[in-house]
Amino acid sequence: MIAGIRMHSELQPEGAIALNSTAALIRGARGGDDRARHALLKRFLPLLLRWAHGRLPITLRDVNDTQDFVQMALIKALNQLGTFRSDRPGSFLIYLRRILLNQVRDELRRRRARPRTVELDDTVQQAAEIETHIERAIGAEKFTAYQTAVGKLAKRQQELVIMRLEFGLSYPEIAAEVGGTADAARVMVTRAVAKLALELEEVR
Amino acid sequence: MSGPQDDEVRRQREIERLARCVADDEPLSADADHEGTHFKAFADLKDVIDGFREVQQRFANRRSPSAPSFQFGQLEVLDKLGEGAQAEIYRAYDPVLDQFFALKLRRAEFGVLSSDFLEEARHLARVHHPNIVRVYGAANVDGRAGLWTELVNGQSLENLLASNPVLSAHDAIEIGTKLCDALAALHTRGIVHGDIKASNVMLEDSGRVVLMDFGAAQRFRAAAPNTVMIGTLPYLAPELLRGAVHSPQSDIYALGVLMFRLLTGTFPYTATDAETLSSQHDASDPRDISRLAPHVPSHVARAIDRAIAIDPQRRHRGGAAFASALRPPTPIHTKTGVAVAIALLIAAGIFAGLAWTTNKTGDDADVKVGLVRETANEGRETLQSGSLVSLGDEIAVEFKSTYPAYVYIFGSSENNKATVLFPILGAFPANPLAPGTLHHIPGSIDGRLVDWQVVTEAPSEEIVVLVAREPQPDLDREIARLDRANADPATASIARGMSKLVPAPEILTIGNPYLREVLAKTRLSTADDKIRVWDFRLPHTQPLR
Repeated sequence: MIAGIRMHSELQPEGAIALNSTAALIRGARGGDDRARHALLKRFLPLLLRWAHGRLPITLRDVNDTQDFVQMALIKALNQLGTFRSDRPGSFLIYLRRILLNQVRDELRRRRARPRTVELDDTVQQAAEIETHIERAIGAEKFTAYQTAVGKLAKRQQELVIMRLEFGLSYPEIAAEVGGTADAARVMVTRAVAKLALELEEVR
Repeated sequence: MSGPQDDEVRRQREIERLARCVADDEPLSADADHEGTHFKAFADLKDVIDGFREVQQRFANRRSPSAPSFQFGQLEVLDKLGEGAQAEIYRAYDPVLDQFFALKLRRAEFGVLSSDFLEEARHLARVHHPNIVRVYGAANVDGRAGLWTELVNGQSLENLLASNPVLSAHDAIEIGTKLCDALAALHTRGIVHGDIKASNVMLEDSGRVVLMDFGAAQRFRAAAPNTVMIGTLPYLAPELLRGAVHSPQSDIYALGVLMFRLLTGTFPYTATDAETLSSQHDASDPRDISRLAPHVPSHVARAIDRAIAIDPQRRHRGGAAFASALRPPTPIHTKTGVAVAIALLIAAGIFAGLAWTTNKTGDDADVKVGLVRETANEGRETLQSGSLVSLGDEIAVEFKSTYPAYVYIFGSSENNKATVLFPILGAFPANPLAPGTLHHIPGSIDGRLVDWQVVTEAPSEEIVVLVAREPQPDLDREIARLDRANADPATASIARGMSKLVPAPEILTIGNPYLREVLAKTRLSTADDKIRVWDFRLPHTQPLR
């Protein structure tokens, strides 16, 4: 049933992620609150788009515009919020990233008509299997090494690295997602990056 | 001197410094004392991060992402696809149906009443056709009217023409015939589109041609005169400029203009304002399509000329007629299935050695045979002797008998060809036709009533109706075999051509030599000589303009 037009500006101002509200919005969306669902869309679509530019397989881009693809993935993710289980704040963005990568994999499978044996949770490995503009920009070998190194980090450090290095979130934004202050977020990210570099050294 | 412990502390500090540089997006600089310790790993990591930023920036410059901007009822409105004078078009998502739509929202400032705006949805809801955009819903929400349709992924014909101003004849005909089909579906339901033009036609990525934007559509039988003129100037039919209301004929005109443009890259008339255009309509013929585009087949040029005739009555009598005229002028046209060349039968020796004599016996009161023509506005028109028929006319036989009748109908044209028009495989009714019922022949296929249609230009044509009381196994066998070879129940009407109606003489003299030969050689099964034959001869109207 049609309920009414709600301008998004009534929900929250444009701009950065609101503090500590993702979990609340997820709860609201799960409970059928359209406003909460819409707010999640509004919040995460630009992030995923920014991340996805150049990260989607080159082979997809002839028919699937990045924006369409990301929108579809995000909407599907919101449709299956019931499957999202978070044991800590900040996981939702990583969850969305995984959904997007799964979507990419499904699309590749559909178009290539040959199955791929990839663990659904192994998003790092999935990403490494997909030829992207980034691979072309920095070299497939270096990118694969990065993905492998990220995969060796603890889950929390993976999330921090991805939020900061891949999604480009600011420290206040990361703090809003994981809790704590911006300074604390910076310290955590720095440690995760240090660990990542050492893992990268090992991989090489 | 420094011990191993101090070295480890310095190493940790260096790692932290490098990590902070990477994390903060700062340039990396090597510490002279520890160069090479871990610097290479951080430098590689920095390269990866810089790669992320570079590619993201590259794509961000190409297209700025747009987030969902608002909610319209249950629809999540994602981004704007375009806008017109009366409405804005958005991509929207329905989470309940898990489907994307094109949401058309009335521009509040334009002043169009919501009820008028939503009339478009009501028009669309009546029509289900693969070449017409499908409507999924409409609502008036918080004072703003909107309707949502399927989201057609592709480009408009206008965009295509921007990069490719002249299409090949093949492509233009393909597009044109699809639009003709769409118009036929609309007109059958009493709706005119009212604004056929390149920007209102989408070419889906799959290749489907989709007629869009029914904002100007109206029920033409109920349209009031002197309403505000709606449409796009080069596509406006002359009568519209004189104050007439939109009609199927004005849609045909607009489609003719569009076809003209697809094939020539220009419009039939050069005027850029209504007054000049009207003057040009009165004073001159349109540009010569054959001269502008010599690659256009002559029958296509003629079909377009007919479509853009000044006199609405001289245009094609609907989309199906226009479509038929655009197709190659094959003498036997099997648009839906069972027009069979008797000439081919003869060539194959099917009737060789058969003996049959035509005669006309029996009581007229037992059988009634009449020809009717479908008209766009007035239902069926009974064709009288001497009635003229035109390319595109849709014609049927109305038949009634007092006994179970086996009916065979043959068509012919002046080019020494002939067709079997009835019986039709897969159609209803089939032989024998039940007595006491007024049958519409050719009948219906998949529940859809079909007619024969005049599809070729010719001076005159001929129809022969044969009615028997008994089965005719020779004819049945041959026709059935050919039906299976030619039937195509997916399409709609049956092609043929006709001309002046002439009552059959008592002793038949079939005009068409091929058909005469066929009937003369065919042995009919008859125990009581109650076989009757009607021979109708029909001249075409002369070509237009």
